[in-house]
Order: sequence, then C-alpha cells, then structure tokens
Amino acid sequence: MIENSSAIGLHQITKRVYSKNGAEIEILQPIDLQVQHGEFLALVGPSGCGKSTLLNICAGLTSFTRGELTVALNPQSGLKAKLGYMFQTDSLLPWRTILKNVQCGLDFDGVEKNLAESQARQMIQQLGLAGFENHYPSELSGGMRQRASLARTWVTNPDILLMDEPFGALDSQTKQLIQELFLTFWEEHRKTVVLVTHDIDEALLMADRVIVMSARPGRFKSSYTINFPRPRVVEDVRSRPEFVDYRRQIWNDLKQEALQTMGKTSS
Amino acid sequence: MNFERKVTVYRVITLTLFVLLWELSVQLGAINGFWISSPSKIAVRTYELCIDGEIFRHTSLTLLEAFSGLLAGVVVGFLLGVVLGSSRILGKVLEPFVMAINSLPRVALAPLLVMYVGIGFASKFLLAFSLVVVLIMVNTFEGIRSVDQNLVNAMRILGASRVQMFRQVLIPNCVPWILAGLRVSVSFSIVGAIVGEFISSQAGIGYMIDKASGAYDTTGMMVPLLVLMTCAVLIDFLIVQLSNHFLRWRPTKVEED
Repeated sequence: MIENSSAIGLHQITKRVYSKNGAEIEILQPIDLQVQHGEFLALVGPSGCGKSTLLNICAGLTSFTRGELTVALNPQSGLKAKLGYMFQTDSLLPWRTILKNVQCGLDFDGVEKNLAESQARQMIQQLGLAGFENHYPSELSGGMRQRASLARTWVTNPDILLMDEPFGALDSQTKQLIQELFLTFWEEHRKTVVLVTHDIDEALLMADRVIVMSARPGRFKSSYTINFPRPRVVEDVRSRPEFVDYRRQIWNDLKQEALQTMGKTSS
Repeated sequence: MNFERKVTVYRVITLTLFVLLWELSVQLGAINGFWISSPSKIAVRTYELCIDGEIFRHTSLTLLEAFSGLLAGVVVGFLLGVVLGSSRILGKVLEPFVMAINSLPRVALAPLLVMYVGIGFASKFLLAFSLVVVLIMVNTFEGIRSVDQNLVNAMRILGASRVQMFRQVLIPNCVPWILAGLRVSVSFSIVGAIVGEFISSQAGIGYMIDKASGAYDTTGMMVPLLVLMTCAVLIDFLIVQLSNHFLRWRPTKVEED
C-alpha cells in the first residue's frame, strides 16, 4: 500500500504507447516514487526519457498503462490537493492582460472578483512586475512572462507544484535571477515541488533530492539526497566542493544514458 | 515625409494615372470606348443614376441580400464550428464531409436553390448564406483545433470548467480565424447575391449588369461594379478596424532584444 504521509505516491506506474505502425513503445518501466510533503524533488534525465510524461501523469494530464497513483488530500479542506503546473513556455493567455492572466486561477476557484484582483496585484508586485498589469504578454520579455506565469501559479496557493523545465527557455542571466526568486519563495512556503529539468546545476541548487532517469524506457537510475543548508544562496552553493562532486557523479550517470540515446537515433 | 504619408501619396498618384490613361486612351482613339467605356462617361452615368435614385434602390437590395446571408452565415457557421470543435469524435467523423462541402464551388448550387425557393429574395439570401456558412464553420473549427495544448492544460490545472475553457481559451483563439474568414466572407456574400440575381431577378446590382450587358452598354455595366466595389472596400475597412481592436493583444512588431 501507499503511505498516506507522502504528497504524491506512484506505485508500479508504467506507460506504453503505440507508434503509427502499431509497434508498442515502452515509455516508462514500473516506477515507484514517494514525494514527501514539503519536499523539493528534481528529476533529471536525457531528452525523451519520459520525465515530462511522468510529471504529466502526476498532474493527471496523461494516462498511464498500469499501476497506482495517489495524490494526498489537502489537510485543511479534505479535498483533492491543489496542483500548480509550470510549463517550459509561459502558457499565458495572449489575449488577456497580465493582471487578468494572474487572476484567472482565482476566478476559476470562485474567489470573489475584487479579492482575486487585489491578490493578483499583490503577487504581481512581489514578482517585480508592478506597472505591467495592463500589458499583454506579447509586450513583455520572456523572463517577465515566466515571472507572470509564476505569479499566476503561486497566487492560487497550490499544495503541490509540478514544473516542467520552467526556466529552460530563458537566457542564462534571466534564468539565474528567476531561479533565485523562486528559491526564496519556495523556502518561505515549502510547498511540495517536482521539478523536471535537464539542467544539473538547477537541480542541485534547488532540490532536496535529485533522481536521475535512464534513457527510454524511463526508470530511476540513481538518486541523490542533497543536504545543502537552507536558505541557499546560489553562488555559495555553487562554490561548495560537494556541489562539484555531485555534479560530476550525476553528469557521469547522465552521460551514459545520453550516449545510449544518441547511439539509438543515429543507427 | 514619413512612410505612411508617402504610401498615401503614391496611391493617389497611381489611381490618378490609371484614370487619366483610361480616359486619354479612349479620347485619343487608342482603344474603342465601346469596350471599356471611359471614366467621364461612368461619372456622368453615375450622377444620373444618383439623381433618379435608381442606383440606391438596386445597391441597397443587393447589399441587403448579401449581408442578411452574411450575418446568418456567420452566426450559424460559428455555432456549427463550435459544436464540431467541442467533440473530438464528432469533429473527426464529420471532417471529410465538411471538407468535401467546402471544396464544392457553391455558386454551382444556385440553380438548385432557385428550384427550391424560387427566384425571389430567398434564393439570393440562401446562396450568400451557403457561401459564407461553410467558410466560417471551417475557420471556427480550425481555430478551436489549433489551440495551443499547453494553454488548455494550464487552464485545466488552474481549475477551468468546460464552459470557462470555451469562453476564455477556445473562443478567443478562434477570433483571428473568424475575422480572417469574415473579410473573405464579405466578398463571398456579394458574389452569392450577384450570381443569384444573374440567374433571375427584377432588381439589384446583378440585374443592372445583366440588363446593360443585353444592351451592349459597357458604361451601364461599369457603374454598378464601381458602386459595389466602393461598398466592399468600405466594409473591408470597417472589418480591418474591428480586427485591430479585437486583436490588439497581438505583437505589432518584431521584438527587439
């Protein structure tokens, strides 16, 4: 049975799909995973390993073939835990202003309009977007849009946050700034997070636990518990000797898998 | 002089040169005016038809036929597109039939429609309607289908209900498609009305052209064409303004870094 203490529990989850010519493709081999309440988990793996699929299964956006998925109930409401999901693209509605975009999750939850608006405004301000409330997403830079997306997710106060390479499309400076912003926010609120990334540094900087996935069919290859003290300061963490060690180990794990993937596609 | 001004000035020059060349080639006998009339003759005739009010009677009738068909076509086409787009299985099942109807040149339906509803207003209305409805339906359907799946997933996770998904994601995503369809639909609906009038009618722009054609009166054919063109250009301008308003969220220029 799955322990009730975990925020997300996956028990022997598998996923198979059929290709166009009818061949069966195994995306995920049986996967067992417990994500604890308030844990920051990072999944890294070579591209195409099924890490995003795994995340989408947790979110209920993708079906799985076999196994059991449990998502904890919200302790206050007793209802299903509220999920937040950050995509690689900002996924803002291009025809709504930043304010209306940030507000929309609250509107869906039935929060009263004025309250929703004031909460959204406050969140926009906290993420340094004050003055852009009435702009459309197309008028903002990529980094600002991703911050707006973060505001939209965060303002709904989700119990569990699922993130699919949310900073992957940003340039390196913007990326680091938003990572720091996110880290500060997270350390204040300690929500359960599952972060999918191909960026080892990002995983090490943020997560309590890093799981490395194998090339397709995806399974867990190795797992590392990262005990850097919190609150973490990005530059301090980077200069730690353990950081360099972890980085090398994880890279070695990943390299084998990545090479395997490349060998498969080129043959 | 800025770019916009330059464009306007060159446009006026182009038009003036065209009209002058036309007039002169007829006046100097380079081309027989019997075939292409001339700007001065067209101006005089337009004036006469304005004085006796004939042109307004015919134009308003044709526009009424066209735009009642347009309006009905847009409303029905939009609703059908939404229905088609709201169910994956339904959309998939009906897709080949919709495409088949769409690829049919619908003016070819005209004789059939006349047979069904007679030679009155209804046949012109239905022809304009049939030209518009499929186009708008297909565009709405495509608009719903082309929605960024990331947006749909994001809204679903944020807790959007089915109705909210439609109102806030799918329908807005159709707007550019519908507006693009609307621009084409205006001329389609006029085509419908005119073809309907060609087949049989007692009034309208199509009737005027047909009658003038019987009398080998090129000027009489050019005047209603000119009036129709002016109306269509004005309406197109209105739709562009409407588009600019509804699509103001779109990036206006390439982003600079």
